[in-house]
Amino acid sequence: MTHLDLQADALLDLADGRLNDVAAAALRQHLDDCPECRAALAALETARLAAAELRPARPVPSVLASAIERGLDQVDRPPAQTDATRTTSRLASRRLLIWRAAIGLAAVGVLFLFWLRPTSELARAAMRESRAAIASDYALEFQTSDPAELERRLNAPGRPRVRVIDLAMMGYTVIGGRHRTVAGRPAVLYVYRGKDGVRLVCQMFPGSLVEMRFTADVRQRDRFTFRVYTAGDHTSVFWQEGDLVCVLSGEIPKEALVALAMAKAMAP
Amino acid sequence: MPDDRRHRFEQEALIHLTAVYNAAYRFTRREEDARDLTQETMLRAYRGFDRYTPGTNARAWLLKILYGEFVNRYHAARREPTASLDQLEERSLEVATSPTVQNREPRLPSTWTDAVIFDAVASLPDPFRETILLVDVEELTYEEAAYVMGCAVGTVRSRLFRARRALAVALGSYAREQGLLPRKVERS
Repeated sequence: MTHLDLQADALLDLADGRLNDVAAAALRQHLDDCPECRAALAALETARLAAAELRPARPVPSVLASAIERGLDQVDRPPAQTDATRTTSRLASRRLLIWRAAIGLAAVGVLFLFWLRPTSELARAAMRESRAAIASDYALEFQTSDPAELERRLNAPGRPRVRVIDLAMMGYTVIGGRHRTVAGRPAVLYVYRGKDGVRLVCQMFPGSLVEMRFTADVRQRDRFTFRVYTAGDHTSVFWQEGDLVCVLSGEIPKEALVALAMAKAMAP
Repeated sequence: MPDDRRHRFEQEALIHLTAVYNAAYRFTRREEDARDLTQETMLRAYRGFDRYTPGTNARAWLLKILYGEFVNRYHAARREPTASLDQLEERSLEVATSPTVQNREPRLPSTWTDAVIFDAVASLPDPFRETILLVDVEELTYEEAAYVMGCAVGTVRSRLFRARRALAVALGSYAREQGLLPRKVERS
């Protein structure tokens, strides 16, 4: 074992500022007389600084986020025809075969309808968030009724830059917002409250409407396309603003929500 | 309930997607490979999510899965390092005593761009490169890095010590090539 091997741990701790004062002073005294350790320490510090230069993060490509989401869906999806394939060899009669074929066709039909269901996984994740935010006990990280102040606080580094549109003229006042993750994407979410206490939730996250699957309810206004998804009394309207998908959700009549979404999207 | 499991996965694991993707990119240095590696990591994590203890270190758990997948895919295909560990260590003393790295408060020359540093890190042997990436770039503790790489904490410390000196050598070589350090005089 060389002299440097013996000093390795201490030098590493000194370079990283982890050595206590007494030990550091003793080691520095040794360094004055030992060019080998001095050189090693300089190398350790230089390399640590250099490596730290590689830390800034790259944004996650939206295509990756949606691919992961599709992959998770496939894992979630139960094998629909396992029993059918497992027992095929046991079929003894023609009548049973016909029944099996009918069941198989039905299963394919169900899968087809499942694929065509009017809510994409991205939409589902956003709607899940909005449902939670409509619940009265939902915690808002930033609580303010000033749209400009909320906008300033939501626009943190690493988050999508958003506009908080004032809907006071339409009877809705902003009450706060927070940073969230929607389907693995950095998102911002903020909440409006109407005079009757009804909450509307606006979310924005990187992505594209193209990632969303079929919905029959698509509206066009000026240059904007609005995709409308409904689940029970909950409605979410999605549209695109630059690289961001915007969503307005609420449990008010669908057409009223669509009108609000259009007003928000087209606000100057 | 799949929905509940999915929701928990999103809250615990998927929030680290950016960290996982960036680690994958630093390991592979190719956008396409990083995407592929990240996707496989997340899907493996989801399939094995029942083995994850909620509230523990999800980021380290994901990086361990990522690291395992990376080793399986890329170690065999990776080219051999151009210099042996002994050669690198032999040269480290000489480079480290140069004026650039001997400064008490080291500063990096502005010519050491991310690309230059990336290249220098990439030139290191696998265990060195991966230790630097996990500890100095991803900022894992020694214990977390040991968990991710499946080795002892002492091994991480030892590798890091040698890895940083080797990186200084690689950067020093670049600096010398660029005329930032005096060229080595060849002995006849």
